Amino acid sequence: MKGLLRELREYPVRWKALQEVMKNSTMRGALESAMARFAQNRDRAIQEWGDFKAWVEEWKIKKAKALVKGDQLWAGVSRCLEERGGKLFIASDARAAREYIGKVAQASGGHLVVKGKSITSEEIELNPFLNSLGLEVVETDLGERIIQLAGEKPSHLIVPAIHKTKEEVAAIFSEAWGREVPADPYLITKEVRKDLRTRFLSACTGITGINVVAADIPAFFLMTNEGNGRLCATLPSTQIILTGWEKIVETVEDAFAILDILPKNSVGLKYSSYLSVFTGLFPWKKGRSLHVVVLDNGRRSALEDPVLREALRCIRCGACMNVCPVYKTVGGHTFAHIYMGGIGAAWTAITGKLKDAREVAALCTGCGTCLEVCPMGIPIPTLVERVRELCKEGGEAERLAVELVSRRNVLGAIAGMTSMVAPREIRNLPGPAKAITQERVLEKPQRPPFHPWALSHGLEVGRGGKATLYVGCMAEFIYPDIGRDVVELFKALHIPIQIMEEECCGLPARVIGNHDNWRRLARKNLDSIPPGKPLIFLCATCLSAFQEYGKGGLALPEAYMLSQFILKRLGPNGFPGRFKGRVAYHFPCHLERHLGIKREPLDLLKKVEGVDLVEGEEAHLCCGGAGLYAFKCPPIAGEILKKKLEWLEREKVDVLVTSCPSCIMQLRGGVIKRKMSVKVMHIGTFILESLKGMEKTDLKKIKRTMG
Amino acid sequence: MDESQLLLRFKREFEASGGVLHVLKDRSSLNEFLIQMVKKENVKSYGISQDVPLNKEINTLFKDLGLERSKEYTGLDLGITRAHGAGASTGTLVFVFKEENDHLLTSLPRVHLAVMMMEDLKESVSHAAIPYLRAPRGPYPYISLVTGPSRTGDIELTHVTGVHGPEKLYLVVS
Ligand code: SF4
Ligand code: SF4
Repeated sequence: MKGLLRELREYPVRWKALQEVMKNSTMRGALESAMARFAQNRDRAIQEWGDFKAWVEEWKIKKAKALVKGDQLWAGVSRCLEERGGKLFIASDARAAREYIGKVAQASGGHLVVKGKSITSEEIELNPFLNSLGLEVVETDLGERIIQLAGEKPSHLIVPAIHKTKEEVAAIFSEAWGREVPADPYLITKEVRKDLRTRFLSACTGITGINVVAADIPAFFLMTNEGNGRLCATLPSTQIILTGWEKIVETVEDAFAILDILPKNSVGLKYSSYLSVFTGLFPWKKGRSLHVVVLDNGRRSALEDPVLREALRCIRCGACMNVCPVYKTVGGHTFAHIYMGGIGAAWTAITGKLKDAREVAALCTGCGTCLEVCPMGIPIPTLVERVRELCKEGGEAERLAVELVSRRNVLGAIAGMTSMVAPREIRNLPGPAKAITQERVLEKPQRPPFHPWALSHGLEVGRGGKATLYVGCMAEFIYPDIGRDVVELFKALHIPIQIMEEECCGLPARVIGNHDNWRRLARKNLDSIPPGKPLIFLCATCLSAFQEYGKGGLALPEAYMLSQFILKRLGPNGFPGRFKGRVAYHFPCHLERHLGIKREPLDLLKKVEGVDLVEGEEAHLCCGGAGLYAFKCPPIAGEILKKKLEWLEREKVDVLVTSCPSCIMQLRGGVIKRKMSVKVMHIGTFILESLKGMEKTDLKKIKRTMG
Repeated sequence: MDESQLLLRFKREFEASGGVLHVLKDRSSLNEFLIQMVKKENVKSYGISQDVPLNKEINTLFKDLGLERSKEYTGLDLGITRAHGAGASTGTLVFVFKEENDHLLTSLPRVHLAVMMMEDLKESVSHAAIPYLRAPRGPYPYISLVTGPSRTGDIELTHVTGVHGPEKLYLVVS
């Protein structure tokens, strides 16, 4: 209980911090436009390039195979490298790696170390350690150099200093060099070139990361655009390569395949300016030494984890971050520990920082936008769930909340009580909870819940229908009108329908890693499914949960989203009604990205006469609701919601249709808060309304087409 | 792909990446191209590696132009080296090194001029580079693949060339 209270007090503190982050609008503007540009360029480059899906499927297997053989491959690399005058050291943890590198650098005979961009070096906190040995470390990538001098952390994987304006950058160098530097990117770059050139030439040790290692040659591949990497590697007499254990592939062809897609998928660049390939010590220069440090630090044990091991395929292209709504909103300072974004939560956990991983994982909405762009087919939201499970991210407050929503009778009692005492909508919550109602209102649960109503209106459990309806908790307690509309719709379409005994689909429990509840609910629901009839869902989240049960080897009957089912029944010619106005569709994350349903809802809407369909990439943005997320991280959820609402305003949309009651709660809450005139409707309600807009004779036609 | 198609593809990608290309027709076309480059880039000093094709022609011309040939590579205006291969699909040049000077000449000067034989042009960078990694006498210790000039967008995404490597990349295909 004490823990719970402490946690509840911590929530508003976290929210406040998030609000502070988001206040910095210069940073957010720059970050967002950079990310949008990268994402756009990426799509163009990949489209031009070839069959992305096929590549993903191929590489999921190929890379996994290489990882399984990892130890063996590295043993071979080590042997060859020694024959070619280099040394390879496998560092079991961050400390071992730091100390080895420290020793080598100290032995190099100088105190200056030049470094290329390497997130692995940040993982082992190398710079402060080398400093503590009395060595001076100079970052040589321009962006990294800027944030090194500013004493900050990168805000983006590819452009680490994107949060700095040119004036700020000029001020940083002015201070470092003790003279006025003009706020001009070109002039600054030329000055930095001069300054760093002298350091390249005088440093005794150069440290770089590596993008990929080909085991057959063996060869080490390093990509940069500025050309700092190759200077770090070749000018100082001691060369140190720091690589994660997972960077290995079997052949040089494989390495080139990855390097081909990497810059394209990252920022839409055909190829990076410089790709340096190292295979051993340069024979032409005396006194050189080459050290390769291979960092394990949790990677090899992650290979044993059935879920986390998928993260080891990551090639750090950053594409998943460029499309992530949370990353766009709060940036890489907040949605990161060292590794950024949702994938960063997994990497933070792998490298042994569960507590930090927990903080990062908490921010992911699970929207799955990242899934579409990952070249290695990494199921990021699933990894985030695994991280939550491992570090009990839920905490007591969230576990309690999930415990409550996971039990229908408890939820029913709460909904009943709330609907008795609460006003129709709560516009402003008091005190620190204010954050929750910053961008949206909370609507109170409607009475009566769906099932009691349905039973008293002639529907039966598991009997009398050609299809079974699963309405889900939201349409049961908060919006039973959706369920009622759908029942009426089926009546109008002359399809007899039946209901089933429902439990929560279990997803809220699963996303916080509460697997006991998840399994309990799955079993209960599966036991209650009436046999032999298709199952119809009103909520994309629920259906994706049911499909997950199926993956566990449990038999599932045919299951459809409402829109799919109606469309199928209508056949090619049927039409469900008439509606005059500008209509937009909001794609729920679970519908589009987890279930892969991209077409049917739009096809159905297009069949409605008079509909002026508004399409656009905004239709696919997450609404920020994400189940309990809007209560857990309201400042981020609110920001994400804003983008959607601004789109509706811009496009003068009359009705926003969607297929998930949870999205409706978020979207309608926002619409009411802003006093917008847009109506937010479930697709079932919309089709019913459009049927009402038809003449009687048309309705007869429907009867004929539906048979 | 036949040779002319390959060259066309390469030219498109090489120029898209920011490179300036000249396909050799005769001696006077080479001179014209080089003179223009020297003027445009304000080249006063240069360094050249041993194995550059057209080595003699270039040195003669530059001597006539009064350029200073130097063995001190820091602060040099122009570095001239041989490209040992190229990949058409990305416009990438392949450099392999047998001695230290060569790789310094590709990386330190402000402007880089590469000279390549037509037969070294391959479809992709992997076709062009892998033979040097699978060489019978063992892989070359260091191979540098170059696509356009050195560049950055680190300050407000403003595109700037010539960060740590050359700010201009020229190529003569012989
Ligand atoms: S699931 Fe959504 S919020 Fe989470 S990392 Fe992916 S894009 Fe970001
Ligand atoms: S998770 Fe996938 S998309 Fe994200 S950085 Fe790694 S490889 Fe790229």
